[in-house]
Amino acid sequence: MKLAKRKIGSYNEAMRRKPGVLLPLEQSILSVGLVLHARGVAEFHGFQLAKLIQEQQQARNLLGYGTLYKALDRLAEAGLLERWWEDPAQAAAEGRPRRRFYAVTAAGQTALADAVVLDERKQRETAAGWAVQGVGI
Amino acid sequence: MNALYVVVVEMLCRVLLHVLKAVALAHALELATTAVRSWVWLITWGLPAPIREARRSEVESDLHEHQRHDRELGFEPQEIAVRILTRCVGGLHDDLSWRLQQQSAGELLQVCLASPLVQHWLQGPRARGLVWTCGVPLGCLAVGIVATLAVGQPHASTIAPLSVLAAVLAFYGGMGLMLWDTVMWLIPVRVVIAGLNERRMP
Repeated sequence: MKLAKRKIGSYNEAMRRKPGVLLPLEQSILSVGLVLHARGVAEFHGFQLAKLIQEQQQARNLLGYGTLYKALDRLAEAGLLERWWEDPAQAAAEGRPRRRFYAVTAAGQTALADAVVLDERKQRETAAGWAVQGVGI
Repeated sequence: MNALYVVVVEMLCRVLLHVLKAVALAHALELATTAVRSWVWLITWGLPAPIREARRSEVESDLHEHQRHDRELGFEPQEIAVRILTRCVGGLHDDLSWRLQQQSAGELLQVCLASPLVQHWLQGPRARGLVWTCGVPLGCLAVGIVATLAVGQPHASTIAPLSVLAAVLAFYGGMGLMLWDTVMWLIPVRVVIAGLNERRMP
């Protein structure tokens, strides 16, 4: 069977992900945000998030600027994160550029919970599929 | 004489390389942050002001926080520079896809063409130079190839060199036009021309 290029390419409309589906990075952002919230930190900024994700995933490098801020942009536009700018006077008083703060919304919490449930179900289905085929894990 | 010339040039090149290396090491952090700022400036260029300023301010704040954090951990400026550049390079493809999400390629081209800088360039001698440098030589070669194929073997030895000569002349003429404004002012010829023009004035 011959496959058309546009059917297998990841950059066409048909292959774009469904709305509501969270990428692993987006799940990490939301879960780190919720962990911070549980620790009593109501808001976080970009670099703080990059550092925590690096620690959580034990990655060698911090997330790239483009990767991090594109994901944050997407989550904020989807209403899963709330964002606002810091008071410029406070930033000036501390002698640094103003930060943009983020916080996970109620919709973000729900989306993360749904994504985790979906992932677990997929894992169970995959494991069941392997068991039927007789593949040992 | 030639050998002496080669030795002198090699020595100068070595000195220049050492100087550049020293400057790069001494100012590694400044160079890295400037590279990131320039990239963000470029990737947000032509976007609506709120989106553009938000991304620039966000990365500016991140750069500041990153440097402060790494200094507290005891990293050397050169190491911080490498870490910052690694982050920038790691996100290049996402930056590009984000940019294309904000504006399609066609809209981006329109913005580029409408910008005052490009408009100025298009109206200047460099645009004509670009046409002469790229378009006309290719045209000359194409005409030469077609003519050679059409007339056959007897006249091919005349037409082929002529088309190549025309292409080379057009290329160098175009280069001259393109570089006239940028390089020619460095050359004393321009001074001589200015002097002659002054003498002609009554």
